Amino acid sequence: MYRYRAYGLRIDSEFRLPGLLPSKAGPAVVVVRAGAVEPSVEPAPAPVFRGNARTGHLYWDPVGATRIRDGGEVIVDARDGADDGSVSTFLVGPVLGALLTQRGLTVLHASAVALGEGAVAFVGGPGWGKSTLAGALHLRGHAVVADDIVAVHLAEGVAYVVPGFPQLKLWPEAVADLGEDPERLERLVQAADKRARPTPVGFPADDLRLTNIFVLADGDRLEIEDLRAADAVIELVRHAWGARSLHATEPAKRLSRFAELAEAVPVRRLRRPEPPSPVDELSAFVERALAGEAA
Amino acid sequence: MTRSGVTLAATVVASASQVSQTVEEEAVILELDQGTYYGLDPVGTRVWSLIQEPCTVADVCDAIVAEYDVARERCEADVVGLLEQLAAKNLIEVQP
Repeated sequence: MYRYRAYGLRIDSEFRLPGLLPSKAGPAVVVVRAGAVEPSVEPAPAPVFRGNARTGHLYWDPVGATRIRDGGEVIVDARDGADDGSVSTFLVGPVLGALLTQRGLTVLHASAVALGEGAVAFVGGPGWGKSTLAGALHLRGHAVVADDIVAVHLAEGVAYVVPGFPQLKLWPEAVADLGEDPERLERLVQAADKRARPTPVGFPADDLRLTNIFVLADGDRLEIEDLRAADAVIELVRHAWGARSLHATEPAKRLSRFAELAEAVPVRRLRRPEPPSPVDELSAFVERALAGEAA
Repeated sequence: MTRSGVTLAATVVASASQVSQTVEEEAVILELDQGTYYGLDPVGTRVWSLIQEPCTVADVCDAIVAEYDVARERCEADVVGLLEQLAAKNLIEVQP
């Protein structure tokens, strides 16, 4: 059994989960093991979720089937020939996202970086440059708090980000944009060329207050735009983890949770020109904008 | 009579296939069959709160005219227009 910690959880796993921090002591709250999942086959070129708020099945063709129960148990029914990279990437991605949702966290498809007095989250669809921006800010000395899955909890109207694990998932072009050599980074899965960029420097041990959420968008120039309250909620639910697959799971509760988040944290659009301005320019712009607010 | 049947005499009510939430006087509505979200401005949100129980379109207009500085005729056109949009998105039920 491998022992890890991620998203504030002690995880015991029969599968190696590279990227997660190792952990020695303490009882696990999440156990990942191999076993039979029924039904074991469902066509899923992209991850597909079936189930309800307590028990869910997640399918993905390169891996097979998984069952996630009560935010604490993951059963993996891997198909023959599934590569280790695909299994671990699936487990620490979609499966972990579903598990954190079951545990009652508000989960966004986003990256988060420690900036100023707390953490800032960047939300957006695949390929919008969330992870690249997080990487650029990391190179400017800011800690990466989470990538891809950002888990938030609210306490008395204040939002906190739970540190995920210190790694960015980047396409080779993004690695090159950051001025690094993609060939020096490990490839995550067999089927696609994303690389794992470890970001151990400054990785926070404790939850950070979430001070800002930026929705990445195209524009004519670098600018930050306020959003109407309803639009802020809609942007958050659009970019919620499992927006397509989980909307039928307790929809009213989900909607009220994201409304609460929009009330707790300013949600604004961060526009940048197309083709994207050099990522260093964008990261410097974000840094200056937040420094201006703090002053 | 419009295609959606939204007339002043029609009775309208929020449909069962949606959930909604109000943030800072703006309603966000999730249509459950398609999983699509819609946002309403503050006046639209007031209309939305009125039609949580069945009422006639004329009743809705009475309330809006009483609460906002708007001429009756303009109000009727706006309310009917909004309700037609909501009907087209399957967010309300309309009884002629």
